[in-house]
Parts: sequence; structure tokens; C-alpha cells
Amino acid sequence: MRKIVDYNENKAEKLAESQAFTELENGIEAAREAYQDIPVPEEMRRRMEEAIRRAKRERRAKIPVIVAAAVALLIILPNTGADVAYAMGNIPVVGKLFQAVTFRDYQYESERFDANVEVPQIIVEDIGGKEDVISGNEAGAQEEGQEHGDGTANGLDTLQQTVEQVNFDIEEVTNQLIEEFQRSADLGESYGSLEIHHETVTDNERYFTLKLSIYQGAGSGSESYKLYTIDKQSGQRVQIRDLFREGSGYHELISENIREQMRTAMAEDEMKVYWVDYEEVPEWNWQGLKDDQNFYFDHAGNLVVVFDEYEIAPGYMGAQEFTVDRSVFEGLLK
Amino acid sequence: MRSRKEALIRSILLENYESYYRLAFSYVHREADAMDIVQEGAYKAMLKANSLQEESFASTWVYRVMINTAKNYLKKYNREYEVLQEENVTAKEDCIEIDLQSVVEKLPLEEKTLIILRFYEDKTLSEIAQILQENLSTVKSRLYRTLQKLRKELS
Repeated sequence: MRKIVDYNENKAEKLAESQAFTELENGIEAAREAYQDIPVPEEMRRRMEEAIRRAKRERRAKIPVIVAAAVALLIILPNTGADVAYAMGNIPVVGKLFQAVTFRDYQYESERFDANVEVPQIIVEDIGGKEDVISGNEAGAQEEGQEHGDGTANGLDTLQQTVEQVNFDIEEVTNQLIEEFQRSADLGESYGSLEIHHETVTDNERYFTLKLSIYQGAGSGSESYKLYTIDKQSGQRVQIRDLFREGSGYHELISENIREQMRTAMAEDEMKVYWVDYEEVPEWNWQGLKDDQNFYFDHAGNLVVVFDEYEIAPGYMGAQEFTVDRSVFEGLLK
Repeated sequence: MRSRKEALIRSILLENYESYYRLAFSYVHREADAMDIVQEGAYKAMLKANSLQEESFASTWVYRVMINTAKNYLKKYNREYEVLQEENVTAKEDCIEIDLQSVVEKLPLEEKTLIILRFYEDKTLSEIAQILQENLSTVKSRLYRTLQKLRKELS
């Protein structure tokens, strides 16, 4: 019979305990057998392999980002744009008006903790000549001193404010995550990791979108995203609801389109699970787009809706993106 | 170096997935959910394999990842499981053989985990301390209390 009290080094105590707990031993032995008889579904092994493959795929997909030189917090440069930007930090300017540069680079590595954080800031270069820049002048040279009369000054103010707000928000969010991470790393208990990366996912005539990817882990972890979209015309930050005309019914139309994609994906691949038509626990079902749902436009102008881990699927599915074809919503745009 | 750690975690996962599954199952009592948890835990462990510095901790680390994943899962869907757990326990009540098992079922999660790791999975106390990131004496006294509780329940 297995001893259940061998954890105590003290012999006298051990004896007393073993007498006290002897009656438990039979029970525990039976319970142990019952436990080991819990059947493990055959599918489990396949799903383990799938999890391993998925993690490997994802690790490979991570492209190292070259850290740009330190750049001042917000730069709205005068019309001499290109030269100055070059001088400030070797930022390639190829006719682009908006850029995200790594403003803070935070690295940490210890036995149990690792962090790899790149905090971006958005930089806007030359507002006045924006139409000239967008018209595809690759060198990024602008007609100097050009003034656009009506409303440009206002637009510039708005844009400047928007960019400042977005940059401030990014700083706040990342500072908080770094502080949390640093605190637990200082305590040194358990494990932790923090990864933050950024990517410009949209930069067309109308919109600029910066995507912040956040992986926060302590033993297990979670992936989440923050996307910042700036409307270059209005100079304002836009949420998904701002894209569409009021009363256009976009919410139902796009949500249903995504639900349909979930159904198709589940029908095609039994490994895929989304919270849609889940009758056992209807509350889990996805409730449709949030007002501030993460999104961006891809190069073809389709709407890409971005979901955090757990938002629309069980955790093993990871974070998810669904692309809604522009033909679906084009008529509803403002 | 990175791929070596990955290979290590991978082999631990494939060797022990049945244990992780049983542990997860005794938390959630539902096949589909237990599989979700273990699959997700495996994914996390692989993804973070390189953050593991000490290879000799690998197997307790994976356990820890699994337990945390399960806890997060439970936290997320807490209400459903309280109900489920009640049903499960009462359904088994009439069977004498599983008497102690049903008492273990009713234990709070932390205590249940201790019993499972120590007696069903044969982990040593120092392994359990590593898995739970507690110091050894805390684990000892908690296990002792849990056993006393079980004994009282049974008599």
C-alpha cells in the first residue's frame, strides 16, 4: 500500500499522522484508480499536435523589427519635411505623411521573466502639402510654402490634437503594462512575459492605422490588440461606428457576414470553433460588433475586423481576424 | 538553443497530455472544455518555451501553465461551472466506492489540486511547491489541513 504521509520528515509526527490517516488510505487508493480511469478522448492527442504546430507557426511568423533611432515625441514638421526627417533619425520618407516609429525600446530578460517591448509614436510630417505628397511624389518633396486656404489650419489643429492623444494613449497603455511587468519581475515570483509590437496596417489616401499587438503572459497568457485609425481628411480618430451613415444598418450586416464566415470555417474544419450558434451556452455567442471594435482597411479596401483572444472563440484558437469584402458595406459608408 | 527548449517542451507535452487532461477534466467535468484547456495550455507552453531558463523545471513549469490556463478558463465561465459541479457531485453520491472521490470533488480548487497532484499523480511535495510556486512548508501544511478535512468529511 502506498504511504500517504511520507511528506513529513519528522518521525514522531509521521507516526501520529499515519495512524490518524490510515483510514483514508483505502479511500484514496480507490479514488486514485477512479481518477486514472477517466477516459482521455482520442482526439486529445491530435489536438496537442495541432497546438504545437500552431505555436511553431506563430513563432516563425514573428518578424523582428528594426528599432528606429530615438525620435522626439511628436513632430509636425514644416514644409521642408523630407530633409528634416532624414536628419532627425534616418526615417525613410517615401511620400508618406504618417509614420509610426519605435519611440521606446524596453527589453528585459531574467531566468523567469522576459520582455520585448517596442513602443511606437505616430509622426506626422507636413500637413500643408499633404495632397502633393499623396499624389505619389516618391521623393517626398513638396511644393514649398504652399498654403491651403480654407480650413487647413483647423484641420491641422485637429490632426495635431488627435496624434497627440493617440500617442499619449499608447504611452499610457504601454507604461502601465511595463510597470506591471517590472513589478512582478522585481518580486521574482512565478513567471512573466510581455511583448508589444507595432505595425502600420493601413496607410492610404484616407486612413492611417497603427496596430499595437500585446502579448501578456504569466504562465498562460493572452493576446490582445489596439488599433488606432486616423482619418487623414478630418484629422480625427475614427471608430468603426464612425465609418458608416447613421441608420445604415451596418452593424447587423457586417456582424452577420462575419457569423456566416464563422459557420463556413467551422463546417470546413472541425478543429475550428467560434462562438456562434452555440446552443448549449447561448450567452457565449458573439454579440456582434462593438462600437469600438478593432478594425482596419486592407490594401484592397476591404474591412478587416480584429478580435482579441477569447473574444469570439475558445482560447486555443488565438486571436482572430475576419475580412469583410468591400462590396458588402460600400453603400453604407459615409 | 530555442529549438532545443521547444523540443523539450514538446516531448513533455506529448508524454503527459493524459495527465493534464484528467486534471483539467476534474476541474470542469466536460470533455470538450477539458480538451480546450489542455490544447490552449499546450499552445501557450510552446509559444513561451524560450522563456524557460532552467530546463530541469520544464515539466513542473508545463503543469503550472496548464493549471493557470484551467483557472483562467474557470474564471471566465465561472457561473456555468458552479452549477455543473453541483450536478456532478450529486449524481455520484449513491455510489459508495467513489465516496472519497466525491468529497474531493467538493473541495475548493486549490485543495483539490493538491490532492490530485500528490496522490493521484504521485508528485513529490517539492514538485508540487514548484508547480504552485509556493514554498514547501506552505504546501505541507495546506496538504495536512486538507487531509484532516477529508477525514472529518468521511467519518
